Amino acid sequence: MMKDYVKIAFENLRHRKMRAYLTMIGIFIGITAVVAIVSLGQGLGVAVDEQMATLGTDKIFVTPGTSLIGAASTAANLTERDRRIIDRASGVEDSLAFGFQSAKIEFKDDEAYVIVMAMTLDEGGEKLFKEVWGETYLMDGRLIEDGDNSKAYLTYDYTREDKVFSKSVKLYDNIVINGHSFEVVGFQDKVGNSGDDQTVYITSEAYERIFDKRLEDNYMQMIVRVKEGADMTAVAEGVKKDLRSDRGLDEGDEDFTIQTAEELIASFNEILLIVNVVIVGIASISLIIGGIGIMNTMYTAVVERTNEIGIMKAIGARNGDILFIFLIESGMLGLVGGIIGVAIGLGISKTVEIGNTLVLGTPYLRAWWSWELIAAALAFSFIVGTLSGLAPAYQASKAQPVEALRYE
Amino acid sequence: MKKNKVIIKLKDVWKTYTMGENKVHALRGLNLEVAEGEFLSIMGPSGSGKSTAMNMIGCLDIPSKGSISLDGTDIASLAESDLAQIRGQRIGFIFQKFNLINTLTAKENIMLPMVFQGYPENKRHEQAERLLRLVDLHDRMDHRPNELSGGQQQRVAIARALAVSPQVILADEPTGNLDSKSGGSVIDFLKKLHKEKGTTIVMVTHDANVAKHADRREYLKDGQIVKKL
Ligand SMILES: Nc1ncnc2c1ncn2[C@@H]1O[C@H](COP(=O)(O)OP(=O)(O)OP(=O)(O)O)[C@@H](O)[C@H]1O
Ligand SMILES: [Mg+2]
Repeated sequence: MMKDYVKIAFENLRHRKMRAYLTMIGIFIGITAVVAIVSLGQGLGVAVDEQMATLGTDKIFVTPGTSLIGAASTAANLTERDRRIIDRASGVEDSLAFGFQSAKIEFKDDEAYVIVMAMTLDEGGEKLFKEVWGETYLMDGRLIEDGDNSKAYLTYDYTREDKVFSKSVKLYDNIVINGHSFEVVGFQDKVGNSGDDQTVYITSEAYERIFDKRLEDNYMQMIVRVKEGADMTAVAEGVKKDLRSDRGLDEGDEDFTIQTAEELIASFNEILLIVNVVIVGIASISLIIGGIGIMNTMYTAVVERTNEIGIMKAIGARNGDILFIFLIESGMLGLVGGIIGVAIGLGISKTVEIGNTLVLGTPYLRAWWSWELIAAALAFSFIVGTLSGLAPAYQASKAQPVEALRYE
Repeated sequence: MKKNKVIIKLKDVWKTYTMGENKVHALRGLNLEVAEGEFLSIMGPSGSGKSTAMNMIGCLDIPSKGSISLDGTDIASLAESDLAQIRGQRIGFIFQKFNLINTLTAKENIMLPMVFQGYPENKRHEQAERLLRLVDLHDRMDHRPNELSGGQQQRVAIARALAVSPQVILADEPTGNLDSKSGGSVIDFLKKLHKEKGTTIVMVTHDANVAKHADRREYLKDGQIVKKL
């Protein structure tokens, strides 16, 4: 019986295809927005979690400037002097500081502009570098070490043809960075985004030589490992206080930012939440408009099909049958709008992921999906459709058979 | 003709429509009895209340005054859901303008009354195909109404009216929109049905040539049965 009602509803929608599609626009825009943003938001969450899993949650991150994003636009520096203070702070095990800059690199007859990154490879720094970069990702050869002043550690895309260079780079080949020759000693395995997979790693001495500035005077970020068992927040506060007193700053006037791994995740989530609230707000408006559209279409359909309602009643349809037939029809309008919305929404988030990998290369924008997301989006659109059809369907069900039959 | 029990009985039935200040009496104390297995035709001028009376018998409407009983059930006192039940199980309607559902195929139209009665799917298909053969439209079962001629549409409507094997067939000017040849075949079907199945048929018509096929003729004028027009 249900199947027959679905069939009747489907035939009616098919009969007025254009109107059905136009009616669905509101629903599908809303669902598209929600699905795309949830997909990307969840993808970001997963990426952040993965990054944190690689880095470990026993780390504190120090950046110059007052926010994570504003790091580059500030005059304040993080220097080796700061790093010494941090290393001496209570609860700190060791630290790794690094900086990066874009540079021209050449291999055979090819050239490319990529990010060249250098880090402090003294005793504590090297240990951290090995732990964070080496253990999980070393693919071939070895990491660079202190004193490797003409050696470079390359990443996955260099081992492939037509990625960075038309020819693939082999172990012990030479590449030229800003006019200086470097021997390749190792490769990092695939991370999955062009940012991480095209970076060139060198030592701080080499960095100074090719960029003509000291890494130790301008770190872009420090990763600080906390001693086992120490309280992360307390250590972070201690580091903050020590840096402040060295710089003669009052509390609240810091020109640097300290975040624990958890805080970093929290601040990501905060941004995510704001984006979600805004998009979900827009999507709700779209869904409400979509619902009103469905209601309007269903009222029109009820009037158009008054005669049909009369016929169905004459051949034995109860009020409930008529109600059901129209509810299914409006539910289907919502559902089909939802199906289109889910498809386009996931398409958009996948496109963003691909575009991001090609252009930006950050690891954070990627498409995530699950059956739960799809099921929830479809259920929701069906419910919006059904609720919007409630009043028109009720009106249809109450039609007087004789009057409905007389209606032309 | 042997005397059967009365299946339809209208007693002093009034139907009054109120149009603003005016009252229109479509039926004015109509008395009518139809015996089981009878083929009755009702004639009368336009506006005399024929369709109104048919709608009452078919439980599509209830009288303003008076009583109507259908196989012993007084329908004037029934709720809408019960009326729907009676329409679906005991009555088969055939209308002047066919009244098929345009978005459904011939076969689906015939199956629809059975859907409302909750017949199992295989039974519905079986019955619909049998009826399509009966009205000679087996090769047209997947056609939609707009792909059929008027006569063919009316035959589909007859098949639909027979779908639930009703006790009573109510035909309101079934040949009104048809040429004499198609109209003739519709009448032939009704006669055959009456003869072979003994179904009770009440048919409204303007055409004396059509009315003559019935067992009995009644004349309606100004909402009452009259002896002769
Ligand atoms: N819903 C209604 N509201 C007001 N008046 C109505 C209504 N239905 C029928 N009438 C009136 O009742 C009277 C009988 O109508 P009915 O349709 O029964 O006539 P009929 O005998 O079937 O006519 P015809 O041969 O033209 O079909 C007419 O005067 C008609 O105008
Ligand atoms: Mg009439």
